[in-house]
Amino acid sequence: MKTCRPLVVSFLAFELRRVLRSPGVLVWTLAFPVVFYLVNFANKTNNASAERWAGTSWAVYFMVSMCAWAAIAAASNAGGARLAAERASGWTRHLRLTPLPSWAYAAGKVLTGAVLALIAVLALSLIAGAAAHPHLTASAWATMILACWLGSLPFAALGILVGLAAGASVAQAAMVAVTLVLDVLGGLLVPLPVFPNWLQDIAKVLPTYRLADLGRAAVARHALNPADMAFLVAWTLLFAAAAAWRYRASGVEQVW
Amino acid sequence: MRPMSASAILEVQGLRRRFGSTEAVAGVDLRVAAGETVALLGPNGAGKSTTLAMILGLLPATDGQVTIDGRTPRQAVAGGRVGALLQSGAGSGLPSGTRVGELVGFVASLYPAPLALPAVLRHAGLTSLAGHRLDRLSGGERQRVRFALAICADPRLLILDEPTVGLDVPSRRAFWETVRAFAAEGCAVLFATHYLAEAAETARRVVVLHKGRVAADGTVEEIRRTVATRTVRFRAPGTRPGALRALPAVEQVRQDGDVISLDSADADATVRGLVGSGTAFTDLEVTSAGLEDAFLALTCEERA
Repeated sequence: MKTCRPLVVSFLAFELRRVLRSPGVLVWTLAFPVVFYLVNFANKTNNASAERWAGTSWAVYFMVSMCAWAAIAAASNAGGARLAAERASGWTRHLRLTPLPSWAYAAGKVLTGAVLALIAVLALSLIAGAAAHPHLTASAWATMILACWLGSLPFAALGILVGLAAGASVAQAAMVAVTLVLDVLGGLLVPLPVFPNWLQDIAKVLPTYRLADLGRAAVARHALNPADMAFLVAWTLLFAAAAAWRYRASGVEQVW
Repeated sequence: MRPMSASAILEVQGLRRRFGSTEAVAGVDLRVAAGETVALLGPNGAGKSTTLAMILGLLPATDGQVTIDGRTPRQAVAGGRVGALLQSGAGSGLPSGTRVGELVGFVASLYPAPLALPAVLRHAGLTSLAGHRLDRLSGGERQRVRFALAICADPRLLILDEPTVGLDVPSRRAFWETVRAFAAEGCAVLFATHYLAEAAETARRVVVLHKGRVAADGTVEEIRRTVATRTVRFRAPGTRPGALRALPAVEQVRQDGDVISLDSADADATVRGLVGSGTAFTDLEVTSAGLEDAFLALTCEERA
């Protein structure tokens, strides 16, 4: 029988089931950061130099890095190669022959990324908490998780942009390359204090750094930096505007 | 002219589409009655796909009007009045990571008054495949899934754009049987094809599109009759085809090895002339033009 739930909700439910069956997405957003965290959180050298980690321990500092990684991977993957492949296969065009509007398709993709990002951040927090016992207050946990989750919004917009701009054959590589460069330069894989000063200055412009910085302020119980939020909003607007421009430029008949 | 008896499910008036300096669709008028099955026939580049895309509102028309069940194309799509199976180019037109029943159920859930899932699967011959993953299906099975997506809204008009391209012969046959069975339940069908046999087997009415215009519109018999010529074919080794051009009523002479074919406006006169000319021939055969000949005659640039 016909249910009356909104089309976006039907689409979100359908997309979530698909994305949770995709091994590539799960490895990139969940398995990789979990394993990378478990291998590195007990690093003796990093743990010894406690004063370098923005007022927290290395284990907590790196937990925020990996939470940020997971949220970014999840949010960007909702668009990215999946979107490019759906455009190439003609599936998005078939959806235009249904009552699902284009905006609902885009919204459904962003929401799918958001739900996946929340699952990934929660899973990482649970596993990191169990492994490293970081002794954080409930509010510090909650703020960090929320910061990583909501801060991944610019990457959802970036994923849609790459999915629209890149062909299906290169979208996967393009998405990995772009996020990997942003992740590395933003200090998620290699801790930022290791970088020379000029590279640290570049990092501070990037959305990856700003997202992690927001999470680190939360776990160090510092006040959240408004500049971080301003940067993240600005990147979201920039990527979304570029995606909207791509959507128009590629011609209505060819896209959705 | 067609009688205006049954109520129209599709009305197309003066439809035009220009791409740069070329006019892909140059003024198409078309009317499909409720429950009617119509084949849209034409060579590649005749404007079939462009016409169908405009009928569905996927492509804005440069000029002209489309009405489906009294609505604009976008309203008809949103209301589930029209379903379509379009060409998907290189891709399958289907998403990865999902199962047949799940996909059809999701797409059906988007429409205001869809068919029940078991009915859709039964119509498309997919009941036993409902739990299968899409990436494991054969080409024919995938096309049946796309057919299920096209009919799950319970549409009153079904549009198919060359739906059997790339399928093997058994899959193609099975697919058209499925379409005919669904059409028999009262859904109008407009399908584009360049397989003449498919047009003749499935549609009573054929619309021939050529260079963006309707070149002919009628029953298969009517279209056949537009070509009055018959073909006089016989075996005559060593005969010069040029000499046969002078026989009465002959319009064209073709030679394939020893076999000569004469297109004739009056086969009786041609045969009498042939006998009178003293040409030695065997295996004489007179045939009327098939749909294929009619199609060629209607869509050739200029007859020699």
